Amino acid sequence: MERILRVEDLNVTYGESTRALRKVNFDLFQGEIVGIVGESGSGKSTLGLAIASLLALNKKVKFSGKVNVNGVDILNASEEQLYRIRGTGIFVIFQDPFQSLDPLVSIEDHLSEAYAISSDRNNVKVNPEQIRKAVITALKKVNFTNPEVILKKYPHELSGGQNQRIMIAMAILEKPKLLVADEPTTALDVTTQAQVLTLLKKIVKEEDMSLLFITHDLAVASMLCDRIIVLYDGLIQEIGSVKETISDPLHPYTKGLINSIPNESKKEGRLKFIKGMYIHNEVIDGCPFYPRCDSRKDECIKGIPSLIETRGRKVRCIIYGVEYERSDTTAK
Amino acid sequence: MVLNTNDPILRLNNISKSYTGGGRRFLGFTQGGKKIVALEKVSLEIMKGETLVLLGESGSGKTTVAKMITGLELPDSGEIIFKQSKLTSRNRNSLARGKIQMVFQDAASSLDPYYTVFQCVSEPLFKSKDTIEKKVDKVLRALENVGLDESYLERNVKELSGGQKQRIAIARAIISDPDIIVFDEATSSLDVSIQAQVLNILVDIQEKYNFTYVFITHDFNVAKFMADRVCIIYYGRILEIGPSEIVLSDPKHPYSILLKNASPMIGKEYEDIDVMSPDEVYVGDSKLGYCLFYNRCRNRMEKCLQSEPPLFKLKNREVACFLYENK
Repeated sequence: MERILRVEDLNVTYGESTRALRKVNFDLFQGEIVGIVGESGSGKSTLGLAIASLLALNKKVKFSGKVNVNGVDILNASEEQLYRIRGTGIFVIFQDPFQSLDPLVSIEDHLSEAYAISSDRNNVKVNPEQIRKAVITALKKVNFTNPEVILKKYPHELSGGQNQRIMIAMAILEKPKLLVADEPTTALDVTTQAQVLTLLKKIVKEEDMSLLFITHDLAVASMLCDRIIVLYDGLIQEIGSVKETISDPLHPYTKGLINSIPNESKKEGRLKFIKGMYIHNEVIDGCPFYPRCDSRKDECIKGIPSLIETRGRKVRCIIYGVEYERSDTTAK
Repeated sequence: MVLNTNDPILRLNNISKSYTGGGRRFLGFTQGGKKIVALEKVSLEIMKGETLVLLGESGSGKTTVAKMITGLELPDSGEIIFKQSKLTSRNRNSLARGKIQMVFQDAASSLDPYYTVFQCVSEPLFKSKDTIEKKVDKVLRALENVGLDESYLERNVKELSGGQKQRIAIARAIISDPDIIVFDEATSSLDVSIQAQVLNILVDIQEKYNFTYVFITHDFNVAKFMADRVCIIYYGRILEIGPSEIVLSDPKHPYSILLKNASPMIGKEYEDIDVMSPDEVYVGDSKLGYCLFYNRCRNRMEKCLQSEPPLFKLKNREVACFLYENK
């Protein structure tokens, strides 16, 4: 399998003290769907932005490490290189499609532009009829039964779910290697969410893209992804295949997350929950999950545990071996 | 008045409510615009001490039910009977003030950020003649019930996290010793681990004080945990209502089945998803006179277009679908 994305030692810091990501390392292969799961403040959106090189370039945002998308070093690329890779190389779907679509441009123009750009970059000449045909095929692929009617519409005339499908149609036309979806269905109703997710999965497999799916909802991730990465306080806590991670979570945080999802009636007993809460910018020497962990030991705060391989998975917890990250490699 | 345990504490009788959407507004008048029916002849009975979950998607009218119950808005027609007396805009203050409380989704905007926790939680007591010591005592007891301690009393609301704010909102709702608490998506903006804590608190205080809950949610799993009875609504109509263990594990209405299949659950895969989308959404016109779920329904029949299905009584639930007409 071809490797599409490699993230190496990625650190992102906002301002003086907010460590959004710390020493993040992972790979993404062609045709794979990887879910980034984490609660608010875990750094999951920052990861999406960093990969698409959309982090603000100012003094407050500091980043180090490497993001390699399809052979291009994203974090050190020039504007020119980035321009050529955005859209056809990396395509990002955000939570709110209204913000990604231009309210003054019709759906037809949105999609035609996408197709024209992608053919231009592939040095293929296309005429208007071909564009229109491709656009209509793409709309049919995302389950619009009446593409001709939809083409004439503007984003505000469509619902959230429909607009999100337009975004997916745009991705189909641009054929990116890497699709990044940042909470694409959080604002949608469950029935629409189910529809968009089934569609997304189908398209990714059909068009042979790779998908990085960022979500706060472990249940959604478990239904869509091949692999799951669990983030907490900017650190990867666990990486593993969905089946194994869900049925036998290794990290106490992953266990807690799975148990927190209501499954039975209150008559069967109370919900298991993770005690305490995530405190932003809390200074903890060692495992960031220490204050909330049920199986904590003194070794946990001697240093940040390293990501160790056990049973073909990676987990950052001293239960599975006492090893620590070297302190100079983690951003303060 | 003494209530029998079998008597509903609150009854909604044929409540209808519609809003006017769009149109031009000028000098307080609205010209043109579309009539949007939020609720159409909804009748509900809420028993003392139970949790009734209203489950539905956006636009289903579940929040409108909450507004009717709490009196934030008045129904166009129909009556609300609280403890056997009809609530009107005139007598609501004397009969139901403090007795029907509400907790909103966004705690941050329902609490004054510059108030201290004590000011927030004691707000419903502003008319009581309690001494300040007694008020502090009451506030402390309410805070204890939601898992917060004394140290929070003098903190500003704006310093607190989302989960803590929601607890403050719950403490404020229970301090006036209400009969009914309406939760409108009270946990949907919280992280799952925090949501689990808050849901546990809600169940605990309900057992302790025998509160009646009306719990509004779009989350199937949360509904399953909280509910004694479930009411599934769609475009202002009740489609299915009954005990939660029956309705949620074996839904009968095609829409309830769709909701169940579409709800994300750990270890499940999406299958059997109706790809039929509400591309053409009805904005509930009460004069339509046919089943509003028709264009998304798999089991649709000729009959569904001719009249709107009423709630048919099954063994221990009611379903508004012609499939169950003679069962």
